Amino acid sequence: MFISPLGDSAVVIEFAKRGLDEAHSLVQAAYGCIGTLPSAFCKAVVPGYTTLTVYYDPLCVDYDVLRDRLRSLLCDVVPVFADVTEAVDIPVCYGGDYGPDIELVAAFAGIPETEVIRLHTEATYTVYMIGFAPGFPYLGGLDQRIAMPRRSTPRVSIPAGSVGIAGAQTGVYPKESPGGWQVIGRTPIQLFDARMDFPSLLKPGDKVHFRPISEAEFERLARQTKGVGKG
Amino acid sequence: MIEVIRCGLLTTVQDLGRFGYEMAGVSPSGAMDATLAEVANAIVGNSEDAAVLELTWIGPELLFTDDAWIAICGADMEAKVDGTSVPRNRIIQVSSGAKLTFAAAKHGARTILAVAGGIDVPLVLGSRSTHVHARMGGYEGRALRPGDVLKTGILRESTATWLRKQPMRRQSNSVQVSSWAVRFPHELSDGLLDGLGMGDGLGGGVAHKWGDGLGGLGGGSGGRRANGDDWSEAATIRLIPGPEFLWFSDETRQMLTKTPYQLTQASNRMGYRLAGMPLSHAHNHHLWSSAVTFGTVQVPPDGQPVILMAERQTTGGYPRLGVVASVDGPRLAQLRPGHQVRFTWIDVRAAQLLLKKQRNVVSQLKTLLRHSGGVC
Repeated sequence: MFISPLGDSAVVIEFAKRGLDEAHSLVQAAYGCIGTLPSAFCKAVVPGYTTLTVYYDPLCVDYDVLRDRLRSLLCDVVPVFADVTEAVDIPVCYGGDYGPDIELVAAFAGIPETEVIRLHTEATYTVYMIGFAPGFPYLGGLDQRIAMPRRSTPRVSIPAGSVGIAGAQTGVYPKESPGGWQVIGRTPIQLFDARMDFPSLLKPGDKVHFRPISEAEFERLARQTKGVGKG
Repeated sequence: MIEVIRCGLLTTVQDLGRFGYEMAGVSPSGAMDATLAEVANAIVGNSEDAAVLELTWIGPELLFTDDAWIAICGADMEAKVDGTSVPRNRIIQVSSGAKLTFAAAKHGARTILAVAGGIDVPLVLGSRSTHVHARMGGYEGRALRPGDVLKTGILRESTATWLRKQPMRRQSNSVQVSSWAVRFPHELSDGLLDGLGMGDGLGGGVAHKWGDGLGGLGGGSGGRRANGDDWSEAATIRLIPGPEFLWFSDETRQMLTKTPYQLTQASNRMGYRLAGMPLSHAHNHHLWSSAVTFGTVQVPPDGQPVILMAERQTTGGYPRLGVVASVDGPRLAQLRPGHQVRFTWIDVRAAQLLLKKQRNVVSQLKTLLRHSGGVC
């Protein structure tokens, strides 16, 4: 574990000398302990792939004091391997208008579209981090066979809810946005809602599972979500 | 109410920022110089987190449909009410029907307009700040456009009482200004004074001056930064070594401090893209994405550093060479394309000490204003 300043108002706790999975489970474990700190020591926390960043109030706490406090709090932290976490279910309508790039991914992998869908939906993914945009999850666990690189020319606009692949990453665009991911489907559910206490559907450490649905089911769920209001 | 006649280059509703949701991918947004917003709010008797307008480079034209008390802090955009010049860093009382116009900033980049009662827009995740990129918060999640109408909050009784006690003098039919202006001892808070437009090298020694006879417009308008540098010279920005500091050779880290870097046109509320001597590193390790903060200096593969600002993404994957010391945040906020920066290294402990001194100055001012009650 290595602690260093990220400016004068945050510190980074780094677990990177190990493999990704072990580092990330240490991040999760550390995140679990951090809540015991007084608010001046911990105003916000951002888990990364192998790091935990803690924002603090430098007017109340000096860097050295915080660093020492974190060291003693976390010196015995052990990896947490979430065994019985229920995966968050994300319904996705694959292909067609919702997934314009699924044919490209199929061609890239040398398999039929149905196989792409099977590989994408059979895996259980881990949320390593939320970043890039509000509610945007960085997911690990994508089958290598369908890990197609991102488009050489990004799209100007990708609809909200689009499910995509960019190299080893897969994820969902919570809001309409420009982007270079290969879009293979779309989910009707909201990944980000600013009216909620915690506005992101997903948080680091969650498990995610994609489930294929029909266009009719997509439209039904989309109407339901709209009924609740927009985020 | 305030009607937007012309919207300027980028005018947005901001407050001190939206904190606590970084883990959900929401960066704080807020005034690029939060201390400027605090000071402007204090001048009109608002609580520090009242929503204000942040003006960028070219200010708007606004019509006040009711009497209002306002304050203008930051870059000198030659503010005028119905054609009469009005000063920064004082209370300005405008009459119903008055038009407030701004031109382009002479020096600096950003100006805060505070209105007594605050700008009344809905809270989103606890803040009224506009995150333009994420289309969240503020006025409908976007920059102001002509025709927009802004509501202002109802004045608290204590604020109304305080305002009525302030000594004012009439500038014109539609304008009165307070007899006093905000000033600081400048040796402690260079960047802060850049923001308050006090780069005229005034000597320090008193926390504020009361009374008339300050002559003309309040606040400095001279062609110098607070530390004496010409505005046309590079701004000194202090950097705390970042997590990937050692990825860069000693030679590269020295080069960063020896040559100036210029803000390119691709500089905005998300970040400032700089141009200068490319910074390369020999490190081959993969860098997993990790959190970034305001003032983080990232170095992408092309070697041209980027300073991350209020609407940055919450995480990033480029090496973080350093992070701007918070004490220089106000100075960063006054930079615009074409301006240059010169970095110097500072230890985190020294940076925290300087930040505390700067915050003390702001706190003293707010206390003085609150308790002044008409003292002349």
